Amino acid sequence: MSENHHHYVAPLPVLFGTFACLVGLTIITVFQATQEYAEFGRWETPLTLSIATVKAALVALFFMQLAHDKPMNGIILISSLLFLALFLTFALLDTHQYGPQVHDFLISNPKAPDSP
Amino acid sequence: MIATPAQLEHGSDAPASNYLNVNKTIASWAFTLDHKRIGIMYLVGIAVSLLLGGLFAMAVRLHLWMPEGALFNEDTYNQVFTLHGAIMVFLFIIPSVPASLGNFFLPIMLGAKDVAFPRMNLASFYLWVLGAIFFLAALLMTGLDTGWTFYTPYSSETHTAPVVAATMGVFILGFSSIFTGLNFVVTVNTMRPPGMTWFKMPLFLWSIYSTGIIQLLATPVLGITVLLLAAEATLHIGIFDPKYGGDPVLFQHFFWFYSHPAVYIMILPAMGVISELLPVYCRKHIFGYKFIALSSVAIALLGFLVWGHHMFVSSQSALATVIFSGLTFSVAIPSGIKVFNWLATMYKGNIYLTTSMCYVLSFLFLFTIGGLTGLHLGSLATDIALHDTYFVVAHFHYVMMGGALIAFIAGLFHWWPKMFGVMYNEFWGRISALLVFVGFNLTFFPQFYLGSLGMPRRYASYEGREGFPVSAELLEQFTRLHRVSTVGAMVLGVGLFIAAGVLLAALFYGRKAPRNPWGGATLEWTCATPPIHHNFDETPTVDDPYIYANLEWDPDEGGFKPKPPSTPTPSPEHQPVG
Amino acid sequence: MSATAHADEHQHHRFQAHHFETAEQQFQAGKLGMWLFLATEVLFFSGMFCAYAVFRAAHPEVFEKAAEFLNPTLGAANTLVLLASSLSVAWAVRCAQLGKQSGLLSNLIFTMVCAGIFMGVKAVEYSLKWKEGLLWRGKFTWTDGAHPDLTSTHEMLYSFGLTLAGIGAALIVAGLILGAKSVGTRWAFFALGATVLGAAGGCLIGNVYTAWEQHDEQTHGEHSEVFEDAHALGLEEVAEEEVHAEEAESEDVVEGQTDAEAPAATVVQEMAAEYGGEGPKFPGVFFSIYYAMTGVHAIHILAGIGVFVWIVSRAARGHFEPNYYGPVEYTGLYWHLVDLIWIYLFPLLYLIR
Repeated sequence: MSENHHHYVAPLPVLFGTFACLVGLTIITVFQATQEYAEFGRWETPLTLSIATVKAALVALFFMQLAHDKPMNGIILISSLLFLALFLTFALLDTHQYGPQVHDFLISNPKAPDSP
Repeated sequence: MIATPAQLEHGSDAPASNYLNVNKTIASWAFTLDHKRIGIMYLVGIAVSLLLGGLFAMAVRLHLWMPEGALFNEDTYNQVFTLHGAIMVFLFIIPSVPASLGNFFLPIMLGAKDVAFPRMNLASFYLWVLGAIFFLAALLMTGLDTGWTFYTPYSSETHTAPVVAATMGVFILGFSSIFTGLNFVVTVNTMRPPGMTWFKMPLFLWSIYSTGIIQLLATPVLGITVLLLAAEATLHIGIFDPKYGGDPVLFQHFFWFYSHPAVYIMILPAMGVISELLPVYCRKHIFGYKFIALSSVAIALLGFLVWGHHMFVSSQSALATVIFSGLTFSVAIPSGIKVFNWLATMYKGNIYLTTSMCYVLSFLFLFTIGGLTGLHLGSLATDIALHDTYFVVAHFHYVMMGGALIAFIAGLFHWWPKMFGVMYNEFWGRISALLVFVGFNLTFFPQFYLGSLGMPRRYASYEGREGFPVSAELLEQFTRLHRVSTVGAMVLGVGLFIAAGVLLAALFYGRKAPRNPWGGATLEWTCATPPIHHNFDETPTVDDPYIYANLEWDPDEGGFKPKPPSTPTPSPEHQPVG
Repeated sequence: MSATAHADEHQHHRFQAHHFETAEQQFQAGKLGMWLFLATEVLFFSGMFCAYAVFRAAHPEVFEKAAEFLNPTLGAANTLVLLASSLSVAWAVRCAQLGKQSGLLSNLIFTMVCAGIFMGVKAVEYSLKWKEGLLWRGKFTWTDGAHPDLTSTHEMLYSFGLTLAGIGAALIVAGLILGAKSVGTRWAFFALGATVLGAAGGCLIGNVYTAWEQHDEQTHGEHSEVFEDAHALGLEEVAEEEVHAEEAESEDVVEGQTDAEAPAATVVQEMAAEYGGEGPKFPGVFFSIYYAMTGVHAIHILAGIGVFVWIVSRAARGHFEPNYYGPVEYTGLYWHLVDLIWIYLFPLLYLIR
């Protein structure tokens, strides 16, 4: 029963290449975040998150072998991310909308410091 | 669990060995990996939960007989309705159809020997038991009084111990539910028999599959929510509790991201049961197969977009409120598709009013009322007035109880002969269906009226007090309606006890059931009654599961049997497809 | 279960369950199941990501301020450790697919050592934060400008690391004795011992690094350190911390230092004015989320270690071969997901500015 023929075996250069890219991206993101002259202001967070997403994609495609797997497994991962996005979008939209009201309330009803 | 020789060499119509008597030791039940036995164990646990939750419901109704409250003080009343809700939701409805009937029949309908991961299936059952124990612990402590929704800040300020016990219970039950859903999704995906394409699957499997998707995507969020809530109550992490800078509305977002889809975890399997039963008792091919199948998936997905409609008056922002209100109506489309297809299936059908069919008809009536009153609650303007009144209580009882519970009972009556190999008393079964239907409407229809009059839910009394003034005229109306509702609850209770009695009596006195008493065409009716340990000796061949022309009544056996091969098999195109 | 019933019918693999038609069906079912489980894991973490996003969007200044207390070097080191463990897991799967027994075992054990190092470094981070009072909201005792003396914590961590090393060595010896007859038991102990040794290494190296960093900061001194001078305010804090402190400290000399030149109006105090007295404790929400996220992630690492012990034990018994390597691959997938989540946690928590 050698049904294993068609299972993809990742070659070592691919694994090590992926690892090297991941390490490189980690160094870049840490360097960017700790050096004063690499300041991107409001683009800082999107930039770090984009680097993280590239890293995550590398792990998913080559370590988890989604690049050579049945599409179903990739669909599952992507749909879980879509539902995560749905959850975050609505929650953020709503909290952002009512945030100013909470802010105003706190200003007009100051509590004693450290009441709990 | 080792298959005995007796089991392998059966072959007669009534095999000596079946899954019930293959091994009778307690250990063989406790450590069984057989999906049928796990389904039966779930059924027992679920029935006990239903009894417990039902007794709490009776207590609530009796308490409200008097305007000032007849039985308990306010604190106890809070605990009683909380336990009624929490037990019914988490211990009864969510596992009801999928974990018992689904576990039993999903592999059989697929012609498979078992679900994909039998050990995970057993683990799921024991997690359910463990979760139930945590609930009992919460019950025996000072008592859980937060309502089943655990809203902060109340839940982080009231007695900590029962909240922690109950949230841990919910966490564990969540895993139980995830395991069940995962198992079913994988089983349907990978273990369909040759020839069973997606659109040849019985509709019950479609609904269980859609339920599995919701269980997988929504339940983990409940897990993290209750975990954070327990941390909030004990450590004060300040995420949900405003006293510590947290955001209580965020808790509601977390909670309803699960709990709204959970409503569809409860109702989708019930819809699957109805789709399975209706064509059998109408002796007619299901109308609009693809629409029913895909509307299950549509309900599962749309169900994720509407959770904010529980928060219209909870300080949710106006923008989110409007968006959620609009999206809410979209769920009506697939639900409507299902109802119309069921009605079209019945049209010109040859309807047999068996006990199951009586329950199916009650389902259609009650679910439609439940669904239509949902439109009142989805519209912003009316919801502002009706929110947190008995109108809401009536609405979700029509859907949850009139929908999920009634369909569960219908399914039990339908499949009882297959599960235990015995026939029950049809007369008393129909009496129970009638009593349940009448009692149900008597209980909950007045509550729509109560709610529109302004009776808030979860109140221990309605005699009037500061913040809730009740005029003498209103008090009279409240009292009358509450008493009608209480009387109805008693009738409903009697009906349910008769139903349980009919089924249990059949175990002892029922005549032996034939292989196919109702003339169903799905695969479970081709295996032995009760099924043998590994379901089928050889993987059965699969045809359209809703063609009944190939079956004929066999008076000797008292059931249906396949027509002799000499009769030319009508091809699906010649069938009335609606 | 009823493998015996079917043994004579088909030539099944010894680990093929009776209800699957083929080994391939079993493999794909298991893999699909694992992917679905990973989807639930993503959504499980989504709650905490949501809480993070909501609170960061509402109070970005709190997050910027609070993240300064996290050490990006330790975070980056842990990231690299986890990436390396991901590589070795992927390599282990490759070895299993090709039937390379020794490569499989060594890669699995390397993975577990990495997991141990990760947990050791986390222990250093948590202990120091505990001492500084940088805890979740309800227990947040840190005050602006205070510099608690961390020497005792460093000493505690030092002895903790040595203890772990001892336990790790003991586990390996126990493996030699208890597993003399069973290769599976032996390697299970070896793997566990290696993990604990890894944790010891992570703990000791992290400890030395943080102590050195602190020393470096002190010698280059913006802050004048007066060790004898325990102010009244500091003592008050000591009392409060003593009440709450749950971990056994070898020494109870805790000296809160208030910096003489502490700027009067700090960010925190500004926030105190703005949020109606919410101030000093408010960064605690960041740490609540920090502990929730990293804590749940650490639990996943521990669970992964547990599963790897089982996998190593099976691998040592020669259960895995090119025709049957599913469990290695499923566990690997789980491990990659744990890595994947850390890839997001690291920049979100450590690299804010």
